[in-house]
Amino acid sequence: MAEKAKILIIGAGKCGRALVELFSKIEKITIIGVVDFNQDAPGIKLAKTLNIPTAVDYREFMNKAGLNCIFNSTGKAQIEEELMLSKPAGVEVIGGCSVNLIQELIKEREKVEQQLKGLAQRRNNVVGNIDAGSTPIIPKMEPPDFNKQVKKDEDFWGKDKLIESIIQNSAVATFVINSQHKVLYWNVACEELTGTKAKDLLGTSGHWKAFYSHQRPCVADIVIDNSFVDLDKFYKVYRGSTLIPNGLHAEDWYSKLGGKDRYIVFDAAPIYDTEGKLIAAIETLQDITERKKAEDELKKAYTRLKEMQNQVIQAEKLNTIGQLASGVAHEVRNPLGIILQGVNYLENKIPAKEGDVFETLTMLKDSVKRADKIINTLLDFSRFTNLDLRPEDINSILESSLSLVRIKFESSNIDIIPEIKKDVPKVLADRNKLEQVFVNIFLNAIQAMPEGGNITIRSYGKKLEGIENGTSRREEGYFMIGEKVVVVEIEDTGVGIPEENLKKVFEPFFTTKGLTGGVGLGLSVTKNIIHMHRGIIYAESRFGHGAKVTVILKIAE
Amino acid sequence: MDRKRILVIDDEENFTKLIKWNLEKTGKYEIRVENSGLLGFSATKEFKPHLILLDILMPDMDGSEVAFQLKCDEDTKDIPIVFLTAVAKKEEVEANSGVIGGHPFIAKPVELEQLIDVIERNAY
Ligand SMILES: Nc1ncnc2c1ncn2[C@@H]1O[C@H](COP(=O)(O)OP(=O)(O)OP(=O)(O)O)[C@@H](O)[C@H]1O
Ligand SMILES: [Mg+2]
Repeated sequence: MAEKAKILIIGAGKCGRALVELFSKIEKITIIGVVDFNQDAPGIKLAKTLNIPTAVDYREFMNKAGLNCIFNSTGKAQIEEELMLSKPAGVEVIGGCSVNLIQELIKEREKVEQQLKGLAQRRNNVVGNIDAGSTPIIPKMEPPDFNKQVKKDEDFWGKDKLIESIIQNSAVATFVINSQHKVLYWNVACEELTGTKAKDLLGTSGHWKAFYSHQRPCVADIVIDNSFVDLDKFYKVYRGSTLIPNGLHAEDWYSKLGGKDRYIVFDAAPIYDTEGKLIAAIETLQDITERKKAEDELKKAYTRLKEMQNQVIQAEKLNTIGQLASGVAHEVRNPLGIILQGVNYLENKIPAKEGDVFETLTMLKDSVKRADKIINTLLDFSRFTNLDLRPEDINSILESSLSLVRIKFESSNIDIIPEIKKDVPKVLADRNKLEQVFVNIFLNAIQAMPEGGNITIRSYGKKLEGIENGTSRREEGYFMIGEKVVVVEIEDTGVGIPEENLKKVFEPFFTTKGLTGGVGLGLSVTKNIIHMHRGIIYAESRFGHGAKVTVILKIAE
Repeated sequence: MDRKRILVIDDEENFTKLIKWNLEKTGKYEIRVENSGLLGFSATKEFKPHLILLDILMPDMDGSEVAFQLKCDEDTKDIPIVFLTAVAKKEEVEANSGVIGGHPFIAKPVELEQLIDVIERNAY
C-alpha cells in the first residue's frame, strides 16, 4: 500500500475551506496543516473541528517530514513566489488556476449530489405510488438505499454509491449480472424500456423474461460464459465489440417489448476485479427502432432507385442495339433481297434437268433465309423497350405458347406432363413477349429430344424464403426476401447441358446446333425479355439427363 | 388479255432490274422502274400503273412521302401501293394482316412467288 500523501493548505478562505473539506474526506490524503493569518477564517475553523493543526505562518510546516504538496489558495502571486524559493526539494506547489479549478469541480459535485438526492427522492415516491396500489400514498422521503439491491457478498459493488447512482440514473437502459448470472442492477431506464421492474428481477437469473418467452441467454450471459458459438440462433445481427475485448454487440427486433415493437441494440462488456477475475457483466440496451425504420426505408428507396437505374441502362442498351439492328437490317436485307430475286431469276432460266444447279440455288436461298432470321432476332432486341404490361394468368400464357408449338410436339413423339397449380397469382406481363419466351424454351426442349421424351411444365406461386438459386445468381437483386413470386419450370428428358455451358446458353450466338439448327439467339432474347419483366431465368441440368429452365416472375400487385 | 402495269420505285438498281426481269418473264405484267422517289412520283401520272411497289427508305424523297403526295392528287389517289421494307419483321407484317398505315406491306428479302401473290391480291 502506498503511503498517504501529505499536504499543506495555505489560505483558509472560502476556497481553502473547500479544499480542507474535500481532502479531509479522502483516505489517501493527510492534511498536515492549514495556514492563515486570520485565525477566524472558515478553513481554520473547520480544521480545528477536524483536529488538523493550524498556524498563521506557513514556515511552521515547511520542513515537516514527508510533505508532498502545498496548495496555495490565497490567490497571491507574491506568496507563490516565496513558496517556490523556500520549498524543500520534491514538494509540489499547486496554486492559482489549478486551485480555482479544483474549487469549481467541488461546486459542480455539490450540485450533482444535490440533484441526485432530489431524483432519488422523486423516484422513491413514484415507486411508492405504483407499489401502493389502492392503499393511501405515503411518499418515502429518505434517500434510497441502493445497497439493498446488491447482494451482500458482492463487496466490490457495495463501496461506491456514486457508481450505483451512475448506473441507476443513466439515461441508457442498463443492467448488470454477476458471474452466477444473478441480476445486480436493473436501472430505471431499463425498467422503462422493457416494462419489467427491477424488484422482480434483482437477485434472480430471470432477466431473460424481460425479452423472451422461453429461457435463453442474453448478451451479458454470453459474455459471462465467454461462449460465442451459435450466436446466429439468438440474434439477427451480432459481432464482437469494437471497443472492449470480449465485449459483445447484438441487434434484433422484439415485438411488444415494453408495449411496443422495438429494434434493440445490445452491448455487453465483462467486468473484472482488481485481480482480473471475471465477476460481472454489464449490458446496455438501446432502442433504435426509429433509426432502423428510417434506415430500412432508405435501403428500400435505394433498391428502387437502383432498379430504376438498371432499367434505364437496360432500356438504353436495347435502344442502341435497336438502332443498330434497324441499321443493319436495312443494309443487309436489301442485298439479301437482290440475291433472292437473282436466285428466282436463275431458277426460271435453268432447264429442269440441271439438278446440281437447282441444288446450288436452293442452298443460296436457304442461306438468305438464315441471314434473314438473324436480322429478325436482332430486331427483337429493339422491340422490348415498350412492354405492354397487364396482369396475366401465367397458365393461360403457357397454354397458348404450347399451342403454338403443338404440331412439333406431336410429330416428334414428345409427351407433355403438366404439373400446374390452379390458383397461381397473376403476373404483370407482356403476354406476347412471354409467349415468345416459352416458345423458345419449348423449341429448345424439343430440339434436345430428337428421339422423343417428356416435357414437364410446372407453375406455382411461392414466397421467396431466402437466398436461393435464382436470387443469388442475380446481379440486379430485384427480388426481396419474403416477396411473393410466380415460378415456372420447364423440364425435359433430352441431352442436357454440360455444367460449363449453363451460363453461356444465355449469351447471344451461343449454339451447339451447327449450321442446320439455330443461330443461338433464342435464349438470349428470352433472358432479355425476362429481365425486362424484372424476373429471373436460369438453367439447371445434368448432362445426359435432361435440362430444366426456371423462370421467376414478380406477381401483379 | 391486258398486262397489268406495275411501277417499281426503289433506289436499289440491281433489285429493281431483277424484279423487272422476273415479273415480265411471267408475261402478266408490264414493269416500269424508277430509282428515286421524286422520279417515281412524276412517272406515276404518265404511266398510270395498276399498282406501285414502293420502297420506304430512299435518299431524296422517301416512300411514305411519295405515298402521301399520291394520295393528295385526284388522278393518283386510288392507285394501290404496296410498301417494300427492309426494316420491319415478317411477323410484324403478318400480325398486321399485311397492312401498315392502310397500305399492304412486304418485307425484304421477298420471294418472287410471294411478290406475285401480293400483286395479284392488290392490283386493280
Ligand atoms: N433444353 C435444352 N437441352 C439441351 N440444351 C439446350 C436446351 N436449351 C438450350 N440448350 C443449349 O443452349 C444453346 C443455346 O440455345 P438458344 O435457344 O439460345 O439457341 P439455339 O436454340 O441454338 O438457336 P435459336 O434458338 O436461336 O434457334 C443451344 O444451342 C443448346 O446447346
Ligand atoms: Mg433455341
